[in-house]
Amino acid sequence: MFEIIAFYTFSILVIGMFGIVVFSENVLYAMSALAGGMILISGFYFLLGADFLGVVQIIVYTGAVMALYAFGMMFFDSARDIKENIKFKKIIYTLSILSAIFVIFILMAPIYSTRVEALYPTIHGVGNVQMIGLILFTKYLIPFEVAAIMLLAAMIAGIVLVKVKIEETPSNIEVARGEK
Amino acid sequence: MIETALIIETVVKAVVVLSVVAAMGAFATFIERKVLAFMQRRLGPMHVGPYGLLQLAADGIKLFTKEDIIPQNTIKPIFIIAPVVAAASAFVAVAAVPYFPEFTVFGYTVHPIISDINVGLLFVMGAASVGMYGPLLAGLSSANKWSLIGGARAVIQLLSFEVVSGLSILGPVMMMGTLSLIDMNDYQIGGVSHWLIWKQPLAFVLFAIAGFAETNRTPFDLIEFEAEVVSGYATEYSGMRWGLFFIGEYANMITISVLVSIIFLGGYNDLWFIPGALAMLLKVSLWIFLFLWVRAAWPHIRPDQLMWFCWKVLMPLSLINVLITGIVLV
Amino acid sequence: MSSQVFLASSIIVVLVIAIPILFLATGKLGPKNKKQKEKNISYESGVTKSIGNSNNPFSVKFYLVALLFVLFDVEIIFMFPWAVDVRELGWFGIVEMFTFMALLLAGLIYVYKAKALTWQ
Repeated sequence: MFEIIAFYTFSILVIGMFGIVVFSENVLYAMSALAGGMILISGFYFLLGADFLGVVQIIVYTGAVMALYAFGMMFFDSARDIKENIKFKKIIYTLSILSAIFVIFILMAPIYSTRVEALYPTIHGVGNVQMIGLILFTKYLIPFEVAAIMLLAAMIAGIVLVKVKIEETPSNIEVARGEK
Repeated sequence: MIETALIIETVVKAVVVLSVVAAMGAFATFIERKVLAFMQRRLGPMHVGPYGLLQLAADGIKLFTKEDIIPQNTIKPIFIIAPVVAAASAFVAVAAVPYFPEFTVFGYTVHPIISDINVGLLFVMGAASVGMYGPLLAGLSSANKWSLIGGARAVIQLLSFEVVSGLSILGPVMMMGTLSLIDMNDYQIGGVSHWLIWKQPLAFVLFAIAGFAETNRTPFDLIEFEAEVVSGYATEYSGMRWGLFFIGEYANMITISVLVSIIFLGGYNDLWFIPGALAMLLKVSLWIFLFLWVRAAWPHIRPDQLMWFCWKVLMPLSLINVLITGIVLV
Repeated sequence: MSSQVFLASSIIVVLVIAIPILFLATGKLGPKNKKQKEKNISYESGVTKSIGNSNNPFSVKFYLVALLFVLFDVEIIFMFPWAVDVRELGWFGIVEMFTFMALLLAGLIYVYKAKALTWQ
C-alpha cells in the first residue's frame, strides 16, 4: 500500500518536473526543475530496494546538472527568458511524437513477450553494493574499462571545447595594468 | 500492523532528531561566540541571562519577527526555494547517521538511527551534494553581483572538495568492506587501538580538511568572506530565510563531526570507562571545538590557493592513499 | 528498510518546508513592510542604483571545474563497489582498478597541461 502511494506520488512529481523543464522559457526554472526531477527519480530505486543505484543517481546527476548550470552561467544571462526559434515546427513535432511512441513500444515489448525477470535479483542479507562489485568485475569487465576510456574522451573533449576561451581569458593583473 | 508502527516510529524519530540537531546547531552558534571571545580575551555575550545564555532566545525572537524582504529583480520562486533546499538537504543527511548505541525504553528497543540503509555513507554524501544547490540557486536568483560571485565560488569549492572527500573515504571503505555506518562503528568495537585513525592517518587528515571545506569553515570560508564578497550567496537574504541557511550550515557541521567520529574515531563504542553515548557526545563536541579553534587561529586562503591545494595536492595524495591501501590489503 | 529511508526523508523535507512557513507567519508580528523602493533594490555596497547587469556571463573556469567534477565523481562511484569487495577480487581487481585509475590520471595530467586548473 505504502509502496503504491509512494510510486504514484513520485511519478507525478517527476513528470511534473520534466514538464517544467520542457515548457518553461526561463533557463533557471528549467534547470532547477531538471535537477529536482533527477533527484526524485532516485525514489524509484529506493522503492525497488536498489539503495546503491538510488544514491548513485543522486550523486551523479546533481553533479551533472551543476555542470549544466555552470555552462549556462558561462554563456548567458540566467535570469532572462529564452525565445526558442524553431523553423520546421511540423517536422519536429512529428519526429518527437514518433520517437515517443517507439520508446513506449520498446519498453512494452518485453512485458508482452516474457514477463520481465531480474537477472541478478537482490538477495536479502547481502548488500547490493557487494553484488554490483562482484558482477562489475567479472561479467561486465570490458564495459567497465570502456567506460574509463569514455570518461577520458569526455574530459579531453570538454577541455578542447573551451580551449580557445581559456587562452583568451586575461589575468586579473593584466586587466589591472590595462594591457588587455 | 507492523507498517503503521514503523511509520509512527519513523515520524517520532524524525521529529526528535530534527529538533535535537536544530537545537544543537543553535547552541553551537552561542558556543562559537563564547569560544571565539575567550580566545581573543573578550567576554562575548554577557548581558542577556546568566553568562549570556539567553542571548540564544533573544536572537531567535529577532530572527522570527524580522520583516520578510524579497528584493526587486529577484526570481521569486527560486529565491524562496534556495534556503529550504540548503536546510532540507542538511537534515535529510542526518536521517542515515547513527548517533548512539541502541537502548531500551519500556521494553521497546530503540535504534537511534532514523533509517538504516546499507549505503549510509554514500547517502550522506549524496545529501551533501544536493545541498550545493542551496548556494547556487541563491546566487543565481538574487540578481546581485555579490550573490552571483558567492554562488559560483560556493559551487566550485564544494564540487572540488567533494572529489577529495569521496576519494579519501575509499581507503577506510576498503579496509572495512562496507558502506553501512553501523557496520563501520562495529568494526572498531575493540577499543582505542582498533580505531581506524591509526590505520588510515592520511585518509583521516584528508577527510578532515575536506570536511572543513565542505562546511565552509575558516581556512576555506571564501564563500562568505565579508571583505571580498560581502556575504556571498546570502547577501540579499534576511530574517528567517537567512536563518535557514545558517541552521543548515551548523547541521552540516554536526553531521561531519559525527561522520569523522564514526569512521575514524571509534564511533559510539564504549571508551574505557565512558559509556558509548557519552563518548560520542564528547567526540562531537571536540570536533565542534576544533572547528572554532581553527577559526580563531588561521587566516583564510585565496581562491586560487584553494583550487591549487585541492586539485594538485589533496587529489593526488588521496589517490596515492587508495593505491597503498589496495596493495597492502591484497 | 530502503523504503524507510525515503519515508524518513519525505517527513524531514515536509517538516523543513512547514516550519519556515510557520515562522514566516511570526514575521508578521514584527515591523510592517512599508514597500519603500530604495529598500528593495539590490545591495551594491551603498550605491542606490544598481550598475550594469547583475547576471553577467561568467569565467570559463567554473564550467571546467564542474565538468571535471562530474567525471571524477563517476570514477569514484565506480570505485566504491570495488572498494567494498577488494578482498574477494584480489590482485585481479587491483590490476583492473589501477588501469581504470591510470586512464583517468592521464586525463588529469592532460588537464594540468592544458592549464585548465591554473588560476591567476
